[in-house]
Amino acid sequence: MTEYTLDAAVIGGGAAGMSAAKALVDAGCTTALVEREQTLGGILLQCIHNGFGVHEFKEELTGPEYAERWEDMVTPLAGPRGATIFTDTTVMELIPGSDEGGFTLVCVSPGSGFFHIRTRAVVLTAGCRERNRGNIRIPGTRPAGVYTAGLAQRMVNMEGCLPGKDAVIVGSGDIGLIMARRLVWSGCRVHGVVEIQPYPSGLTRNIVQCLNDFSIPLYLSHVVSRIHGRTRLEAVDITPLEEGRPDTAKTFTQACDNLLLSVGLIPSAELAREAGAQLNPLTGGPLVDCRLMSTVPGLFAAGNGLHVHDLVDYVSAEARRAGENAAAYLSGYQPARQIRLKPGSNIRYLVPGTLDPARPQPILFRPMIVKNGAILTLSLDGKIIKEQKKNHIQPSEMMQVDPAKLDLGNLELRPDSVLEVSLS
Amino acid sequence: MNSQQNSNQNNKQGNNNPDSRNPAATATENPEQTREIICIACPVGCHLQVMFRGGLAKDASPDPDTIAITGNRCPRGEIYGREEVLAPTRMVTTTIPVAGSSFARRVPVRTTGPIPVARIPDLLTQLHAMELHAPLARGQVLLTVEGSENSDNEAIQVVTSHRA
Repeated sequence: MTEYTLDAAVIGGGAAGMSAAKALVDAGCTTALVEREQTLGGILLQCIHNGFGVHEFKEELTGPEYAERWEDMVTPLAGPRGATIFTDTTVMELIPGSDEGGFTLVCVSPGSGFFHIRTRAVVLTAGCRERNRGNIRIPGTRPAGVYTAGLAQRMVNMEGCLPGKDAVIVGSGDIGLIMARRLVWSGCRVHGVVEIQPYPSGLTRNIVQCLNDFSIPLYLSHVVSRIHGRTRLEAVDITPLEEGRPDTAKTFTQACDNLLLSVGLIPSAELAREAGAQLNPLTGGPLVDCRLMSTVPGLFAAGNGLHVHDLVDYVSAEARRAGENAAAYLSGYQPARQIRLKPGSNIRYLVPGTLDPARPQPILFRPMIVKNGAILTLSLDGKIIKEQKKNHIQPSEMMQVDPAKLDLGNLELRPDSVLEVSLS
Repeated sequence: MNSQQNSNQNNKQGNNNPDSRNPAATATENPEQTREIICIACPVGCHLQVMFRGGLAKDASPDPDTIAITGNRCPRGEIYGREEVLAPTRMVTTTIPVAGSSFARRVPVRTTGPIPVARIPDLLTQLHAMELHAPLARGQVLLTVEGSENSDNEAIQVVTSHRA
């Protein structure tokens, strides 16, 4: 069996993987970049709308443009001292070695069959998958015509087939909203977007340009309560919620031949879990320390495979840090101490979970509330060290705070210090 | 069938308000109208009330001098509101079938800038009737959007947004 030995491997060649691989090669590490599709780019290739790259490239690009810009930066890194790019290659198993924390990647590709890649560090950038009908337990029959929104996006944009002519969309996440416009522009009718929360979960811009522009109703505090149809989807029941409970007397039926589910994403963390990494139940991704390293030494994670992002620019930046940190790990760097990071009020989780005072890195989090004029507070061991006004916060927009600006050197840090981030 | 009323405001329908401020104007011929618009200049999403006269006839624009905007928290809302009622524009993206590519069945395309909303249906029809052949580079110009010229006579184009 063919075997490759390199310093590091990056699993997944999307936005995160390309960025992590570039950071590793730039730091002098020989790096395998493994991608299961024929081309690099990942999910960006089906996100044909614009709005990507405002932070990374200072202009608004489409998803495929953003992907190709990165591909143009990564492809020239290929070579014996740089990157080895394996496309059309799936990592079947990630086996942590018994000695010195090395790894074996069991790979398979149509061209090469089975082969192994041996490395001392791995960055997992495998992206995420969509929650589906089973996750939200919609009662009814099981006809054809029920799709996740991202799958429908791939069908329409890349394969050129429509999921149907009359759509209902469940969930007002950005993918669902963008698919609403996409379907209308492709000649379909979209009869409504059904959102269980009392507020939309997508960006305002998408509510305006993808729904309001086409007079598509947005049913807030509503659920799809039943699916009808024997072989093909025929209709769905939609029920309003009154104080969180379905008000079944007000249920109405909407005829449709396809139902798109945009009901959240879950990090693809199977390889990490099977390799022994502890997962964070709040994010679905691996638990990581200040280096974005999981509980398995040498196994790092970034991007949607770590926690689900909404801006690709944040994904690229996070993966760059993971690549740099993996390179530092390979050269022997260990943080002298780590401060625990604690999510405070109105914050669901913080990534990463700890802070290295010697190399502070941005902390990413998602607010649990919608508010104009919110206050972001950072407290160290109960003492407020920074307050920042935020114009507008909402759960659909990830936030970040950069502790490099906190002047940690002048603060009294104990070994058991806790830094809490909260919103009010 | 649909017994629920849409909980979201339908921004496309202007309400005709009876004229209260200027009884001299012929309220029936040129009534003051109000459109509710959500500003998208930033994530705050101010709800704007854009009041104007004129623009009742099909394809007619409101009279720019009569536009009055409330509900905005910053000057960008004023600019956005004016543009939305006078000459709304949008970016357009879609995909077009491509023959002869080793990895792609369709190639994504985009307009190089926002185009007038009224031009979108024709443009989509035109694009969806096209067939392309590989190889294609990113940024290859496919066509020029008719009626998209700005004051400097620069027109918006449709370009590929990935190679194929």
